[in-house]
Amino acid sequence: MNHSLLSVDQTIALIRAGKTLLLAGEESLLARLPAGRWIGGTIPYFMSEEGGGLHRDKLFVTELPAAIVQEARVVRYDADSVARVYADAPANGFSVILIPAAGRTHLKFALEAPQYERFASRPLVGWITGVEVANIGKVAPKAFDGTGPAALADGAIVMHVAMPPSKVADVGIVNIFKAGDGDTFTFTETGFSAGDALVNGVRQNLAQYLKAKGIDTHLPLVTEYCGARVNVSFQEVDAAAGRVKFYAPVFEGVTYRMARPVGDYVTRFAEEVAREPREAIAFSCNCILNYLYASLEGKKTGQIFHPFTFGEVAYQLLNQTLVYLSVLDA
Amino acid sequence: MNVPPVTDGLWRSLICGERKHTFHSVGAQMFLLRASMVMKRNSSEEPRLIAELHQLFVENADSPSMKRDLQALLP
Repeated sequence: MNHSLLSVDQTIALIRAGKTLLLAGEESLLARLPAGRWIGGTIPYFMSEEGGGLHRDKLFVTELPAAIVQEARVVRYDADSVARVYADAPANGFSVILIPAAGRTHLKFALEAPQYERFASRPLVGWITGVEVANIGKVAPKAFDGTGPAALADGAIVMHVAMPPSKVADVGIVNIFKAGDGDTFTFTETGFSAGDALVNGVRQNLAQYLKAKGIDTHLPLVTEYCGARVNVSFQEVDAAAGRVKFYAPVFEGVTYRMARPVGDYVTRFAEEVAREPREAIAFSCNCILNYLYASLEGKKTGQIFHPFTFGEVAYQLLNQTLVYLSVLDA
Repeated sequence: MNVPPVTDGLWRSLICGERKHTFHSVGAQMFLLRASMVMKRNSSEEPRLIAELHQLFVENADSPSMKRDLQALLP
C-alpha cells in the first residue's frame, strides 16, 4: 500500500488521476484540494519514513489501490445519523471514519457506538481529527468530504469501500499497554469525566486518589476482556475540584486498572510494530498521546506509517493505540 | 470456514462468559466487551446477543483473524 508525505500539488495530481485517497494534514492544505474521491482530516503530525514529525506544508496521503476498491462511497453523517455507520457498510469491504474532535458527533460516537445497529459487524477504522497542539482550543479540527469538497467541524465523514470478492479486510491494534495488577476502578456512570470511582469496590474521589498515590497519568486506565485491551487516557486531573477528565469515556460497570509501566516506549513500540503484517496494511493511525508522551519527534518506530490522531477508531473510540486495517487475498 | 449454527452452545457460552477465549478478531473482542456490559445490566438480552454474535461470525468468517478464532473454538 502507498503511504507518502506529499505536497499539495502532488496530491492534486493524484486526485485528478482518479485515485482513491485518505488524507491528513493542515486545514489550509486540505482546503486547496479539488473535488475527487478522497476524504481528509486535520492534523499535522505524522509518522513517515523520516520518523515522527510535525509537517505544516505536507499532506499524509494513503492511496487505496484500484485492485481493492470496487466502489468507494463517501457519506456525511451528523451526531444522530452516524448511528447508521455499520448498517451502511458494504457486505465485503471496510469503512474509514473521520470525526472532528470535541464536536457533538465525537462525544455521541464515543459514548454510543457499541449500541449502534450491527455494531462491529463490518470493519470500521478511522480517527478523531485534531490540530497542532499549540492551537488546541483556538482552531476547530475538521473533517473533509473530498467529493464536495466540503469541511465539517462537527459530524463524521465516512468512506465506505466495497472490495471485490477476492479480497478480505481485517482490523488490527497495536497496544503496548496492559492492565497492571494494582487497584481496580469501576464507575457508576458512563462519561468523559468522573468525580468518584469505586476503588477496589470502595467509593473514593478519583482525582484525590490519583494525587495521593502519585499515579503517572501518562499511563492509561485499561480494561481487558476476551483479548480486547481498551485504554482510557487521562486528559486532566483536578484534585481541587475533585474531577478527572478522560479522552475517551469510562463505561459504567466495567472494571479498569492502571496500565503497567512500559519502560522504553520507543523500543517497546518498535517491537510490537515489527510483529504486525505491514505489507498488507491499507490504513493506519496512532494516538497523538503516544507521539507526545514518548517524544516521537524524529524517532522511528518501525515500518508502519500513519497520521497521529486525537483518538483512534477500531469499531469504537480508542486511546493510546495504533489501529490498522489490512487487506489480504481471500 | 464453517460457522456452527446459532443453536450451538458455543455462542451462549461466549455471551455468558462461561467460555473464555482470547480473540484475535478485534470485531469479536469489541462485540464481546460490549456484550459483557449489556449482560451485567440485563441478562434477558442474551438471545439477541447470541444471534448478533453468530451473525458477526457468519459475515466475517473469511477474515484471517476470525478463521484463527474459529479454529481455536471448534472441537
